[in-house]
Amino acid sequence: MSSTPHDPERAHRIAVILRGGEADTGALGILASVIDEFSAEVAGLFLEDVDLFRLAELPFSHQISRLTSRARPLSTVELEREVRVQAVRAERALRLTAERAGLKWSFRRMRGRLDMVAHAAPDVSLLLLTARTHGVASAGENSALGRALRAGEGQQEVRPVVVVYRGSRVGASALQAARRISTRTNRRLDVFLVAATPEDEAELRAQAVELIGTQVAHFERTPALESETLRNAMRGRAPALLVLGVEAGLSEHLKGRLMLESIGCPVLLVR
Amino acid sequence: MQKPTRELSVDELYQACDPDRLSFDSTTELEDLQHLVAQERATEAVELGTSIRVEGYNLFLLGRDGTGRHTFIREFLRRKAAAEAPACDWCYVNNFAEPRKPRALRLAAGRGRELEADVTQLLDDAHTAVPAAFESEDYRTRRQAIEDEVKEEQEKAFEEVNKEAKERGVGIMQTPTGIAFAPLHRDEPISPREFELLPKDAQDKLKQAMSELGQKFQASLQAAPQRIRKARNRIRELDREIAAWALGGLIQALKDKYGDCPDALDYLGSVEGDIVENVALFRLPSDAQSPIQQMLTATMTGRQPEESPAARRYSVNVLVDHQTEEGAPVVFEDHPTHQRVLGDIEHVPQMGTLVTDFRMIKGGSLHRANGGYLVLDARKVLSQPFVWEGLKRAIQSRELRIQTVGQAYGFASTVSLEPEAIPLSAKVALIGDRMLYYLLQALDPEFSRLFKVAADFEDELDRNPENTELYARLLATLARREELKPLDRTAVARLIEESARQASDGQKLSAQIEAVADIIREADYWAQKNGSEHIAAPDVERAIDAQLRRNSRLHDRLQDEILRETILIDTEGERVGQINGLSVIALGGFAFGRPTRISGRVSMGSGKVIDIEREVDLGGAIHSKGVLILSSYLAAQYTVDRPLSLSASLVFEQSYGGVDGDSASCAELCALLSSLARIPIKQSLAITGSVNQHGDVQAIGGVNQKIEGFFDICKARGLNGDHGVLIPVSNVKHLMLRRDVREAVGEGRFHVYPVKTIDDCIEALMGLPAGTRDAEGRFPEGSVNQRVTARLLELADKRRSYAKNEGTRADS
Repeated sequence: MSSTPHDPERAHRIAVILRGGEADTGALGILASVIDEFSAEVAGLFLEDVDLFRLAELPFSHQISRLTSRARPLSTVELEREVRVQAVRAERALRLTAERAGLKWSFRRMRGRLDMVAHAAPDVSLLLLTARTHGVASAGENSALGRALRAGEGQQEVRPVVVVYRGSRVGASALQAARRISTRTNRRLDVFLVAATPEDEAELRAQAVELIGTQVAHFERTPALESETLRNAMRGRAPALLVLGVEAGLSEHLKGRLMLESIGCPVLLVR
Repeated sequence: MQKPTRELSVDELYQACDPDRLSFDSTTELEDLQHLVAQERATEAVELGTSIRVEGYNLFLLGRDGTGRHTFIREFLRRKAAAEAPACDWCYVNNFAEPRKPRALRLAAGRGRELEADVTQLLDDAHTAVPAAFESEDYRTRRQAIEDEVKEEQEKAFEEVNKEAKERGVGIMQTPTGIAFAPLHRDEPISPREFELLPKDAQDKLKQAMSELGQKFQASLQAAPQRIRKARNRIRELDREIAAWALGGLIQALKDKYGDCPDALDYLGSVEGDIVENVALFRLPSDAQSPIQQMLTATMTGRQPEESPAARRYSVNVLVDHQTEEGAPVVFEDHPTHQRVLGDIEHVPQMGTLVTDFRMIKGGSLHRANGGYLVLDARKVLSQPFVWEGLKRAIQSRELRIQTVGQAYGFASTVSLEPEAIPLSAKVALIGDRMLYYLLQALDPEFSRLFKVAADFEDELDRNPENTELYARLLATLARREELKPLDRTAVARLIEESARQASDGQKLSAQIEAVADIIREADYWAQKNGSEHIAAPDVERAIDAQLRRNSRLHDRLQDEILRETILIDTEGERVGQINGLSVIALGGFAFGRPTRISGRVSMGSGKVIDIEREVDLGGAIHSKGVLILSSYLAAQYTVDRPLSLSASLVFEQSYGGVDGDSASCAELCALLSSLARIPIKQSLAITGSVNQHGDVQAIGGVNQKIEGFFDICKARGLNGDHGVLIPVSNVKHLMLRRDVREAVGEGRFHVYPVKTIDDCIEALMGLPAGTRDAEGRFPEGSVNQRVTARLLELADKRRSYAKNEGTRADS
């Protein structure tokens, strides 16, 4: 489990909810860019989707390969094995990321649902959720489509960091975290200002500009922070990361897991 | 005592050049000489060879070193080429269809660099124009529209599956490797137990829904690549349109400029087509450095800035540039390696392998000389690996095909370039010595086909008033060209005399100008030291003396050993069967003579003259020939009607190196005759000359050095008036003896005797009449020949009686 000596000065803890696949790799890349800033202790939690195992128990269930589009039966044994492989990979990637930063780290596997994580990670400053969607199209897939369209052009698509800012203290922390990540990863910063009116938007924008200093950002207003609005706003962007400030407790946000999952990109919750 | 009938006067020992007979006071009055003196034959050959533009009419300039062949051909070709049309520039560019076979472009002289600069400018402009065009709002909007269209199509297809799934109570879940469909109850996946509790028809409906949704999802997935391909094609078409718009004007401007260069025009056309297909090369990634940043990085780190991918693909490699030249090119290659003559394909290490491209093709001197002339040193060409074969191949095929040595000879099997061949139209002039020329003629069948014109340079020229005047102008030209002081008439006269001495002929001048040029250079040094405005005869004399002194260490050591009587040479008294012969030792550019004791002994035998030098492999073939002639002479002269019944041996005493040449055959014959007649030979005399079967004395080489060699010993021991040298009369014209020898002769302390026959030699050396046969065929009593004959008859009689006794003893 933990491999590095505990440093009392490192007060912040980051929890990473890993869920297997390429999304974990992207999330850990982002984690590597923030852990120095936050002097964090990293707790990795590999979440095994209990619903998936339940589905696998049905004798007629089958899955369609994303790579080849061929259908094949979905068996519990095979699923167990594949999930184990992903967990081992996730643990190794987390260990490498934490050790490179000289941080204390931990890793464990848990079978359940996303909202149960609130109990598993009660005292974290940051919670990083990797992407997983309960749908067939995701930001990642859109990005893959973009990559396919740019293949051979020698260009890399640079996906932006998106942050939601509502003017609160935690929102300000989220904005600053997003600024640091965008700077470190050389990505564009897109700021969604949650404002009912243009006047509110102008005020929030002024605050945000003061917080991010010289960093260039793209601002956009969204009337409310709800699943459908956010998803539509981010459709064309295929963000690399969504940063949210946790206003009223972690569990409340995690209960809205469908909202988070519908976005289809890693989400960093800042407390 | 019989004395030689004639001895040479001082005037006959040296063909002096009278300064008063020269028509000038100083070489400043003389015009430069534009051609070589008395080399009409070679000049005509060079004119012919350089004028006939037919295959194989290449030149070989043969002659001795220092005859001015390099200077002559340099000046000749410079003048001739200046009046000829300038050669074309040649460039190599990428062959977009077949990158392994770079294309060669022919352009008018000076336009290669221009094209290179224009293409570099085009690429620079493109690096600005292309990103600007692709960042334009217009392009981004049109591209985004295409991307959005395909995304929307895909999303729509997926959304339909999502929507239908929701309507039919089926959820979509991501598995580690794919997508799965799950039956839902209140938006939560049903457990197997709950599913079992559902009515049979509800179960069937869900199963059917999951199956159908799966098929629809599969269809959507399978349609995705097709959609992407179509979108990419549309984007590519859009990119082409934008690139053509951004670059079309720039390329058209170049096409207009190079309308008169078909190759350049063709290349620009292919660039235009290719650049549109590879427009991504100009769309730099966001973190790429600007040219200024690259320059700064290079300055700070000392590394060369990396070229852009576009430069690597489209730049022009100027192989041959005649921008600054006027007239046809004339190239002198001093270091004719394979790479320097025939070109090369360089490689650079990259990630542990050697890589190359069209920009690393390097031209050779043949490329630079194409359309003009290439001058090479034949010996250097032959001593460099693979150059001769490569040169012949290029001349024969009349094209230049650049290959590495490894490629050309199959040493390397790695993938490399095969640059397009360039037509070759150059005259090649080889400069070499005669031996090399005749060896190539004999051993290389291609040589005479490829080098049809031989320009044979004379080693010497007649010393007549006309040539003397031209020679003086040549000296004037040399002095002016090398910015030396002018020569006054005394210096010129002295140099003409020295040239005659170097030619070993008082009636000739040496064509080896370089040796005389060295003397002028050194004389200039002495004149400068004296503060003289002109180089005068004493300066020349001093330079010659200094050269002699520098080179005479071995001469001095040998003379020292003779004087210390380590090497035995008698210069007084008389000895039977012993004579002073004369030989020449040549070391590098310096030759000196030395006396050698030759001894001959006779006894009864079967008529064989043994050449001891030959017996121990120290004698050469010509020397042996000379000795065999002696046997023939003895038999024919003295014992016509009887077998020669002697056994004679000849030896060069204290000679430990090889002996060759027949110039000692006179001396050898005299030693034998002395031994046969038992008449002593004067040791105060030395002799040189070859002899034929009739007893005629024939000319030899190095007569001056030989006389001086004996003179030096006699002088060191004290000249007493008896000392002298016998030389063939036919060598008298070659005499150019040193001043001290001439002075000694003038004072009667040393003598030079010209001899015509062996009888002349006998009389001079033995002091007795040789004797001629009377009407009855008998030599006069007491003459040398009579005593030789008598001795030979005695030996023959003894041999006959010996043979008879031996026969009787055998019978009994």
